[in-house]
Amino acid sequence: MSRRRGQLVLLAAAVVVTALVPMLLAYAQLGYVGDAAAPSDDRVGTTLVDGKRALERTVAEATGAVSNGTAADQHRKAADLAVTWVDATAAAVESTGTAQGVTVDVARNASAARRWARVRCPRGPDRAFGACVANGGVITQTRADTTALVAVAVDVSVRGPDGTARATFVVRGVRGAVSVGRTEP
Amino acid sequence: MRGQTNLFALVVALVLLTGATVVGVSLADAALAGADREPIERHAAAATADRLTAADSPVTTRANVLNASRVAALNASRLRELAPTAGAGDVRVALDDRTVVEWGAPGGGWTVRRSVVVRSRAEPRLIRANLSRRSTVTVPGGVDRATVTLDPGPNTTLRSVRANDRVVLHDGSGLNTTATVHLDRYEPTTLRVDAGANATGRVAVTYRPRIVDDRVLTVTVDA
Repeated sequence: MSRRRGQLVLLAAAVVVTALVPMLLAYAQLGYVGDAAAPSDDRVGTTLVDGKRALERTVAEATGAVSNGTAADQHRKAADLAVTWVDATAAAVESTGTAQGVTVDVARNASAARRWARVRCPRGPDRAFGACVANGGVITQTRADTTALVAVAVDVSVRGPDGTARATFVVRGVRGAVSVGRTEP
Repeated sequence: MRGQTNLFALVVALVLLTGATVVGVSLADAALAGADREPIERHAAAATADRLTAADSPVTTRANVLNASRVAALNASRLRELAPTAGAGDVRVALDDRTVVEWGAPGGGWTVRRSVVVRSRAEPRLIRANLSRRSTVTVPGGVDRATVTLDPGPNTTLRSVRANDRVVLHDGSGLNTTATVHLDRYEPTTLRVDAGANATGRVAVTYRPRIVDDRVLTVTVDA
């Protein structure tokens, strides 16, 4: 009889301990703030921005290279030279993206270049330049006795595990890129 | 008699057990109350700092690089638009110890610190050159645009201006003007005025150098 009563007390103690366990678990989770402090893992967006900056820099360098080695109206030669620079960077951006676990595709956009050349070609009172010529996504222009690289139009598409981002940029000589179309993931 | 002693022992044991439970639960409750780490303040402060330093934030040029003039234009309503979570309480946004935006008077609350770079433009610099002596002006790297003023002397026609041999201004009938030209910001640029051997006149180039400072952005939210 007394052993049974002792077991009753033991059982009651066990019930109380079991009831306290969830409370301990709840307490252990109180300090968790990982979500707020963790840096955002937006690989698609970062790759897109990094690619844009790499292209801006390349086009700026190519602009210098093209204007140093051309005479007037050598649009084809200037475009070919620019294509060499831009395509090399495009390949580098694509392989960097692959290393980060996203698929990147960079391609020159001929139709966006033609549209931009028609509407936004640099001209004005102190800029008595020739007409813009778009050639395979590269916009060139005769300026005095040289052919200048004006801009390159590119499509960048980044496909990652969380979605896809597509953007069309017109990367102007030294003034950086302007976005002419963008699809958010 | 022995049974009654055991009954007494049982009652005492149950009372002790109940007492221990009550004490334990009340201690746990006090611990839970004391562990109030203001998750709302913490989240609001972190979210506001994230929004301010994001690449597509209206005050940054890219992620964690703030544009000083756009930061100066920031006010309470624009910040509230940018980070609605901050509207929950008193908020202060500061760069180092200088308060940028503040509403209410946050006494305690939660503070988030982020290391950022602040870009600003210094006072304009002016370089003048006399074309009879020299025809080039060098602008340091990091400058993305400059204003060129051309003032040709008599019997001089200035037809073009080149930046690192790239033609930026050209007019076959002569330039006598003030114009803004865009420069390669990755390297120093030499601006050259195409002037003949006996050219006279002046050229003035104005540009604003970039200043880059490391700062600590602090966001305090007191809900």
